Amino acid sequence: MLAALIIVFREVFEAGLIIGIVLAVTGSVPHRNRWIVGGVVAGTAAACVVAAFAGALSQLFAGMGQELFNAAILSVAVLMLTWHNVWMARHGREMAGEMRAVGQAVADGTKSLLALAVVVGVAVLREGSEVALFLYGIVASDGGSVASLAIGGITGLALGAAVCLLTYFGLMRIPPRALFATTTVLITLLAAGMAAQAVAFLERANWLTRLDTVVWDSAWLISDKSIAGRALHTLIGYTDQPTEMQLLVYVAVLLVTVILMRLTGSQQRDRAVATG
Amino acid sequence: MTYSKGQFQPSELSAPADKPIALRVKNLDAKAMEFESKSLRVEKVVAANSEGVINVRALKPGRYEFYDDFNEKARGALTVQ
Repeated sequence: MLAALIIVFREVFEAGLIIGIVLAVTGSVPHRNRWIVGGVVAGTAAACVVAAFAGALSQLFAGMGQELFNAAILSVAVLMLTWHNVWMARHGREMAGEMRAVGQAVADGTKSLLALAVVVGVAVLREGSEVALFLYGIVASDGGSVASLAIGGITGLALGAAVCLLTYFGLMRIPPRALFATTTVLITLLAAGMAAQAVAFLERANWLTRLDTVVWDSAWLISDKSIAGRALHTLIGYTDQPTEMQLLVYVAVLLVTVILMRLTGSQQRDRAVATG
Repeated sequence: MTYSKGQFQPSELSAPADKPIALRVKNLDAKAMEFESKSLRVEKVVAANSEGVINVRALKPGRYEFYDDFNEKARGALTVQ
């Protein structure tokens, strides 16, 4: 539930940020609401198609298909989380500025409202389909019930909608950088944990048989079945009996994320220095 | 191995040590079940009226318990020797 809430909130936060700014900036443009709502509806519908497709896909497989599909979905989620972190490191600061420029262009009549609706639609589709994939990955990784998933998702959605309204009314009163720093750490650990979980699925499918020795058994300290174990499993990918391959992949994901974020972040700084 | 009316049949299995094995679970019930075992490190949902294959790594001799995570009354064990 917590993972669903964090992911949904994080994703909806971004779409909410864009929509909030778009709403505020286009305040004087006539008929802007129908375009923005249209963008949100189209983006949501497209995201639902992706989600439905993911569900149907899991029905198609038999035998080891369940394990392989779970591993694939988790891998996609890991890639998207990592890409997301790297993308935010590069564009986090630019984003607000870009959106404001597009809104200004619309107010000036140099771009049609359609362009802005498409920007909103694409933002919603990207975040929405990520949410659908991540939620599916979370169901696959910790077997969370539909009810707790729905509670987490709806709470995350409500919090995200609140952010959209706060952005609209307070126009960027929330310091997004502080929030991103915290969620970036959580997302990175979540990605590493999901990668380790994907390894476990591949091991069960007998696709990965190397380095499958259990390194330690810390069930006496925190069992996977305890509430603390479940919370840590969801947040940081804790497991009481990790295999060598799981640990290796976990550390690799952390390292790759840190290196990629450093690289793109320093490029951002260089550009800022060059232009500023 | 089959699963029907919320019970494993047979509930006691045996297998040779130090050899990877595969368990085939046939779920005859109208509800999905989840074959789970902490000591075997497996977890697998088997849909209603379908069959699931569970790969188990080479094991040391011992008794490994398993159960249905959706119905904890259904229990069984694999004895490795």
